[in-house]
Amino acid sequence: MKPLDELASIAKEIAPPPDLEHRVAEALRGESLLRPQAASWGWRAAAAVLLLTGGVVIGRLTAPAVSNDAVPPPSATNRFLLMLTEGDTSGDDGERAARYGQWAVEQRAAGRDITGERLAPTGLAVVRAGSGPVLAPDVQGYFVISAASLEDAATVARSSPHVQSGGTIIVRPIDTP
Amino acid sequence: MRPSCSSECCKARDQPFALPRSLIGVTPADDRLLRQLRLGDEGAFRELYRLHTPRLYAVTLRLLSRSSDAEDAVQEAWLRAVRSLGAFRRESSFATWLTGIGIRCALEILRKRSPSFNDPLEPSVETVPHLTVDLERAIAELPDGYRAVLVLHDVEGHTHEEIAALLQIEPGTSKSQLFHARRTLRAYLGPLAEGDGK
Repeated sequence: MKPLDELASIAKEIAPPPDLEHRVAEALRGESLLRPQAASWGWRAAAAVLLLTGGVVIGRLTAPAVSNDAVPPPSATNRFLLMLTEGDTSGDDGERAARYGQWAVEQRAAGRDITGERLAPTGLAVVRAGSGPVLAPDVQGYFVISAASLEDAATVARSSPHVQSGGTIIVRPIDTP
Repeated sequence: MRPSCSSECCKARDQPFALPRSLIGVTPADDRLLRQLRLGDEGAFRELYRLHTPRLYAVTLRLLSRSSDAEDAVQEAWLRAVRSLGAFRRESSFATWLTGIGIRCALEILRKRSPSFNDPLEPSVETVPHLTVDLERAIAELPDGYRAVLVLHDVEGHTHEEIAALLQIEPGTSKSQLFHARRTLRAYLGPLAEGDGK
């Protein structure tokens, strides 16, 4: 009796529950098999962005002074989603955190609205009923920025440490009525 | 944190076994990350985890058919793999080696759960309910012994000799179990499997 044909195309990968990675890392740390990780760029960048969006003056303290008169503020209705993919995760996480955070500070200082967060590494792509779970595309994080146009947003993305270090950013206008 | 499995029989059998040759070969990315992981680099561990755990989880979930047990097997597999990185001889890919450890961890859990799962006298196809379900659910519904052989042979590509070593049974028993597993699976799937061959 030969195997069912369907078995040949059965999914070879299934996304594990998102919290499992943390549990496994904790177990490894419990046996001293891992050194504690340096603070991730995610929460540092997120913290910087939160401070910025909260109106704190961190931008004036750490970013070059940029007059809002010199750079016309983009239209508040032109918002763009920057999806970060294929980024280089080698090297020091803390140093990377600082670069992403500083870039966000600079964007704010230039008069742009900016917010963003890192995404957890696991996820699911939800597909039609009846299909098994599949891995979500690798999107490492996102920013939402204001910009005058798609070209302007692309220029901003190009200036980011993510692209500068070899990553890719997908720029999509947010469709605001 | 879940307690890790500490079965002596598993500790003694953490050596890799042969897998399909298509899976052989350590990638440059794995090589770099493994060197960092041996120094305790958590970032390297997390990269390796994200690269290889979806496959590891798929295998253990299919063998165990319970997500909580599969999670235990994945955790234990990673613990054993990191503890014994020095024993990884690069004769196979890291994915192959890790998956082999994961399969053994899953089989240990399976034995604890149903000590007689290697018994060739599983329920006959006539005694199980006739279900029309999708393939994954049908596999999960198989008796443990049938499911282990079917997953290892038809999904993971192991030979009967390899399965016999893993399950501590005779190769002939593996063949017999596979025959019954396929027949039961077809019965479960009902009309979905019609015309799929003999």
